[in-house]
Amino acid sequence: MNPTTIRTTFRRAAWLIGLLALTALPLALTTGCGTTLAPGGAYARTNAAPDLALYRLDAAFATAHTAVDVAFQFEADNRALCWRISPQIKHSLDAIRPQATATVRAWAYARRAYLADPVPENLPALQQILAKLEQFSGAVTAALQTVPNP
Amino acid sequence: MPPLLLIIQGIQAAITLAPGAIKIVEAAKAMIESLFQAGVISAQEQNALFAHVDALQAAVLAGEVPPAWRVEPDPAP
Repeated sequence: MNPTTIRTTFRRAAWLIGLLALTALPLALTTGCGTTLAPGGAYARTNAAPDLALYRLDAAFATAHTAVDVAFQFEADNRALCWRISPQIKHSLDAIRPQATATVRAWAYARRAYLADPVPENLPALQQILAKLEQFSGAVTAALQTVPNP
Repeated sequence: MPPLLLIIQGIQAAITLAPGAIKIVEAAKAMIESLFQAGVISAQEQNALFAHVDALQAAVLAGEVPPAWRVEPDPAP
């Protein structure tokens, strides 16, 4: 594969990961938009009020987490190729890896706390952590797009 | 199908990826497709999302870190 093809493929992969990252933002920001939870589901149990806030946060988290995971996995699976394009790609992602891991761990504790006591006061912690993860999803996209022009 | 998913499909068709990465992208696409459904979120869809996120939470609290999330040494020169 010639260098131009490698860079084109790389940019297209970065676009896809960027799209995944962008989808996390509207999911977290939209207020309902006609979305309702059918009774009996995990977020609308029959013995509790529907928790649309948690549903939206979980959905946004899943998307942001997937975007970060895809980026890390792509670089790991194509390390030699990425290294040939630019060592800075790995180095940029390596700077994000431990931070993303810590953020996801913080999210897990915050979500467990919310599930144990699902009151509105326990939502801001999840929202703040989600915002941080969404920053990382944008950062990994930027790292993958640092492909030098031929 | 939402326009965004059509764009994603087009990009996927243009990308030549390693088999492992393709599976990841397919899983991500399925997740996005379910999240963009407007109207009533069925109990089945809710349960699928909750199970996915719950499994992530459990893995993280158990101390699991995916290999791709770890900092590895730079490739040998």
